[in-house]
Amino acid sequence: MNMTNFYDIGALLNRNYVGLGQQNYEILFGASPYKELKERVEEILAGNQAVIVAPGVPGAGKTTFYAYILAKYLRDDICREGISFDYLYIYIAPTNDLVRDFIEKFLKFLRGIFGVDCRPEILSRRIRVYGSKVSAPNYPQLLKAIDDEVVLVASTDWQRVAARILARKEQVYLIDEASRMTFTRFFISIADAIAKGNAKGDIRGFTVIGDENQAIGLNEEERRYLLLSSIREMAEKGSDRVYVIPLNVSWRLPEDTAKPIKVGFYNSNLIGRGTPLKVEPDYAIIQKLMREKPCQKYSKYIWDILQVASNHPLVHIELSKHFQIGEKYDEKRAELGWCLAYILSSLVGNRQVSVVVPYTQMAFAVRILSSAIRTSRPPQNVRVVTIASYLGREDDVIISIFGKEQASQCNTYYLRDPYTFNVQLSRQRNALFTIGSADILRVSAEYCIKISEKKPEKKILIAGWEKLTKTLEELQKIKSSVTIDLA
Amino acid sequence: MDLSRCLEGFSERPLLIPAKTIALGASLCVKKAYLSLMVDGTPSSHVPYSQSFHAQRIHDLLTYLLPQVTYNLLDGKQDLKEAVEEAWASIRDAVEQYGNLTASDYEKYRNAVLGFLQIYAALLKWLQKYKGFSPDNTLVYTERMLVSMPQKSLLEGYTDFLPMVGIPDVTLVNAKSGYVALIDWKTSLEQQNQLHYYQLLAYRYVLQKVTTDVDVFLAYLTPKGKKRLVSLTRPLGDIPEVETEYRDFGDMAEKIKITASLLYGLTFCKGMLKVAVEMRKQYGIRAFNARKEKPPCIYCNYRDVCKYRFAKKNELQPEEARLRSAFYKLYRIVLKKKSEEYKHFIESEKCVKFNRLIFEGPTTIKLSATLTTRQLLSDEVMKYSLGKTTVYVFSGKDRLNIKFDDGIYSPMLFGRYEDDEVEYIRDVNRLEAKIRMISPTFAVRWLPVYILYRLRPNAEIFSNIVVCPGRVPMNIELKAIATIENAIVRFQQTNDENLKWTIDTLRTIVLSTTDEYD
Repeated sequence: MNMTNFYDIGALLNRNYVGLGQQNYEILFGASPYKELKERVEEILAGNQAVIVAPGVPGAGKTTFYAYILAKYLRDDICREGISFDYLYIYIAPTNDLVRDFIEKFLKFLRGIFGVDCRPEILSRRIRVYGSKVSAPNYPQLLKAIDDEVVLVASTDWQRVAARILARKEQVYLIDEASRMTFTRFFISIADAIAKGNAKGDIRGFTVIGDENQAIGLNEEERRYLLLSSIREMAEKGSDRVYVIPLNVSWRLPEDTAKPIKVGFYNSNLIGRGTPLKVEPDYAIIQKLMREKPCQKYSKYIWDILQVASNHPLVHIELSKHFQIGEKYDEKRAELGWCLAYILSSLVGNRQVSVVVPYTQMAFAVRILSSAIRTSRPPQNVRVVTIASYLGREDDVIISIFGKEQASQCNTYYLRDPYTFNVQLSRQRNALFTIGSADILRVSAEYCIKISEKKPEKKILIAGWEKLTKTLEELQKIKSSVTIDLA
Repeated sequence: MDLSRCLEGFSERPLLIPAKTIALGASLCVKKAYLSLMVDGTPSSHVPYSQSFHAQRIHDLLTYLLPQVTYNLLDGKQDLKEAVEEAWASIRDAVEQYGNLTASDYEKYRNAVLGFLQIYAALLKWLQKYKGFSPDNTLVYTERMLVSMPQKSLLEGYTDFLPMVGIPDVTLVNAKSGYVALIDWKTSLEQQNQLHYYQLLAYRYVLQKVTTDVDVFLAYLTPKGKKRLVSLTRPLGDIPEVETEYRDFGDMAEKIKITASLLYGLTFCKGMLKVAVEMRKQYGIRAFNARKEKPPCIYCNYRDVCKYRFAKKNELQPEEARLRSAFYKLYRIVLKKKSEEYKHFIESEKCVKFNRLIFEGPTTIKLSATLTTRQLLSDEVMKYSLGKTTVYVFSGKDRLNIKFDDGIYSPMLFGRYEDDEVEYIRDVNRLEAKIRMISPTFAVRWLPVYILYRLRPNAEIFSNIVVCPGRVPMNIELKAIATIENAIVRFQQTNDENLKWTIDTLRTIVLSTTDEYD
């Protein structure tokens, strides 16, 4: 399976970019709601102070939008020799993957679409990229501190940037996947400017894109202080230069696969425009792969699953038994998930398959199974990730294995943080396979709502459980379902 | 609430206090120390552009250079200048690429660095002569973290309360005898001497729980080039080219501990300022009143915020009182979150062992563990699943080794461990994992160990490795809130339009959100 080591950002500078025509993006980003967002962001880029918040459904094209607008804005200046910049555009995202994606997309727009042609050496002097997995052996300049020649920074967190700004520059922040950012976190960069003795003008503005329905890993109290919610509230009260522009079209999710979360988490205000995939089973290949030890015992189920997948992009595999009690991994689910990923990876061509699980130990178990595979070359198009680490990411085919469905004093993974289920079910570009007991989880969520009805401090959590329940009801209604008894 | 009852809450809401802050409280004013802890306007990694970076840059250069310079000197190299040049040439690329300094910084501060290293070289000679330091038994750690986390005993509660985190500039260890010399670089000779002494003696108090023979030294270099070496634990006698001084302060431990307790109390419990004032006679604790407009408050950079923070409600304007109350709510939330992090500072029950540590490059280490079972989902294998987390790295062969039971930790390194980088190597039945440097902010902690590894790859400390998941104690969010609060208070009457908009926007965010959840 695919192991991530370092991302060679320098290699992206050398790549030959061939993309869609400029017109397509001009059309996409020239129409509502991107048109309004673009106009507002351009105002900030031009130096007018403002705060913009764009709550967007999963797959709304947020990273692409940032890459596009910055490439467009910087295309005339970024390659000019002998120029020093007194302003800085800072793209912040929570993961190394997103930072890498952003740079790739930015270069694709800059070079492939806007036709900006200059030596990689020049670009390496204009751009900085910071992250724990970022490398640039051929262009080490990309990792160095921010000097006068730098105009664009992409980083996984604020601190990496704050520690490396050596000269005073006006700063514009473009914050991606800010779903779980509390406004106390948001204060850090402003505090940095103030601490550096310049409260007056370092920070020109912020654009914050994210989705409150994907704000995970927060306690009840922190959820009250979400940046997105705070700014939305300010805008609703009519605060000066504070804008909210919602994005409700998902370019990632195929409509059929988005239905459970559309009803459950988005009150039907989500339009899925992704491309569905129906898997074409190749029986000779499947038979050969089934010989791997962990697959042998699941062969009957795998055949059934693939039959359904040949007609539907969303397949729910309903298990009659809940997750193993007391453990953070479930051996049978790990084996079934690994086996399905292993076989699908051979049936979907160049497409990437991701297994998305709640617990780090569960991900570890699936990965370890793959390290022991007997074939000479384990599949390279499969990765195993946790929900938390996959926020803002996507893949062609997603296998979502559920965590504990049992109620256990309403303190299990999904019940403590119901929004994680939304993240887990919204990563697919083409097809989604869900494995777990929707029935037991729904009953657990309903139970938690019932016993907490008279507790005002649980108000926010109850709202989350209600969304979770609705999503599970939808999942149970779908016809493309296979029931398995793993006992 | 009395102080001891307040401290009882430590296990539920722990907090580590920087040694320097405790020293500030012990040496000058406990209110100033509290403000420095809670309301410090300068988040730790943020250096004003307007300042020259002078002291910080010199410290950082010394941190990177010292391991190699030490071995060069111990190996008998006489020319210090040459030893320093050689050390810089060997680390320059790594520092420029992964750290926070450039070659021009080195050029700019070379003379100051040389001045400090002359003091250091003189002390090193003394240590060779009297403490048996040699090229084979010397380990040099720069910017190595030292933590004291109070442990509650079942019957007696907290008998030895010192919640402290500190980073001595240099920790020089005789690996054979266990003797430790702590050295701090100081660029100011006249000011804050008392603060420096308390800081160093706090380090010593903690370290003595691990190894008894610990000396502490302060190396002073003034802007005019005056060099002085102050020993706080034993007379050094005459040392050529350096002015030496011995200062005997006796036992400062009680005052250090009581100051730490008061700072903890001021952070979490009500009525602690009164307790601090009452302790004035017994412990010499001082808490000045900024509203009296007298020294030392009139020279204090916290004067305005001290008046606001410690004011009675009727001494504030209604808007200020409302703002203070809103910010209190934010502090409570962030402190609660911080406490949760401190609770999991080092999760000793989840530690895993590796046979060997190898640096793959300046920012990555590879660890290997040989397994006894071939059962893939066995407990032996599954315990290496630590998630995507910060980990602390200890060596079973380290003289400054952990005393988990006493809450004393001095990790060799900390970094990022990610499950998806753990690989099972089937042929040799071995697991391999990686740990990476977290960010350039921590290069001064990470790169010196890399340099030490390059110089002594076979040192015992790189075997018998224990890796424990945990959290890095940083108060950046807390300090950011404090900075914003200060800015709102300071700039509320500004005429600058841009600044006014920023301040108004921040104030609206805070007040509207905190009001809603009253």
